[in-house]
Amino acid sequence: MDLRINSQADPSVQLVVLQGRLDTAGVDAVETRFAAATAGAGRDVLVDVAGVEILTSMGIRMLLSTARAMSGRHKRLVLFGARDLVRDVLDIAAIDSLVPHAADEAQARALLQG
Amino acid sequence: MRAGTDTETAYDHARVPVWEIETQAHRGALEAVQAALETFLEGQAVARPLRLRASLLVEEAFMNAVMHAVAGSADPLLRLRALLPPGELVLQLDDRGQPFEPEGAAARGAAADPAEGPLGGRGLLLMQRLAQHVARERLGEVNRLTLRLLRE
Repeated sequence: MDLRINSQADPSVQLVVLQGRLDTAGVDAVETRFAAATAGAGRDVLVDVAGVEILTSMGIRMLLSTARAMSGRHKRLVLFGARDLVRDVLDIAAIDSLVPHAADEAQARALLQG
Repeated sequence: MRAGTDTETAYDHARVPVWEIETQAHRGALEAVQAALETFLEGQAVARPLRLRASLLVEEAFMNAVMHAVAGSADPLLRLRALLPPGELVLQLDDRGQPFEPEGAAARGAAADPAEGPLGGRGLLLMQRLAQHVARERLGEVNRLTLRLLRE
C-alpha cells in the first residue's frame, strides 16, 4: 500500500493518493500516515483511489474513522476515481453520507464546494 | 501453515482443481494466505478481477473467524479451500470455534449510520453482496462457510 501527499496551490484542499490494497495489511501499513495526512491536515481532503485495487471492511473502517475525526473539525473527506471492485464495495458499504465518492477530481471538488 | 493442490471428486463427480491451506487463526497469517490463494488461482487461469474478489472475500471471512468464532478457542486453526468446478470458484473456510449465527448482522452493517454507528460490521454485508451464494453449516464441531462465485 502506498500513500502520496500532493501539495497544491489551493491551501484549502489536501490531495492524497492511495495505491495498492486497502485491506488489513494495507491499513496496517498506511493508517498512521493516512490519519496524519488527512485528519491532521486541517483542510478538506480529496483522496484519489483510482490506484486502489481492493477495499475491504478494514479499509472502510479506516476511512470512516478518519472522516469522523475530520467532521469534528468541520472538514470533509471526499474520494474519487474508484474503479471496478472498489466502486462496488463503496456502493455496498453505503458510507456516502460521510465519505462521498465522485467519478473524478473535478466532481470531487464540486462536492466540496456544494 | 500447510498448503496443497490436488483434484478431488466433487460437484457431480467431475474432478476439479482443489487448493487447501491450514493456518493459525491470527491476523498476521492472512496476507500469506491471500498470496498463496491468488497464486493458485492465477495458475488456474482465473481472471484477475475474480482473483481480487476472492481475496477480498477471504479476508472478510478470515477476519470474521479470527475476531468472533475462534477467539479464545482451544483449536485456533482455520482451513481454507478453493475449488474450481466448471463455471465457478468455490471458497470454503472451516473453523472449530463457537457456532456463529449471523442472522441480522449483515442487515445491521447495511443500516449502520456512517457518522455515528459502529465503524466495523460491514464484512458480512460485503460477503453477502459480492458472492453469488453464501452458505453456513455446522458440521460436528466445525463451522463451514461456503462462498460461491461465478466465473465469467
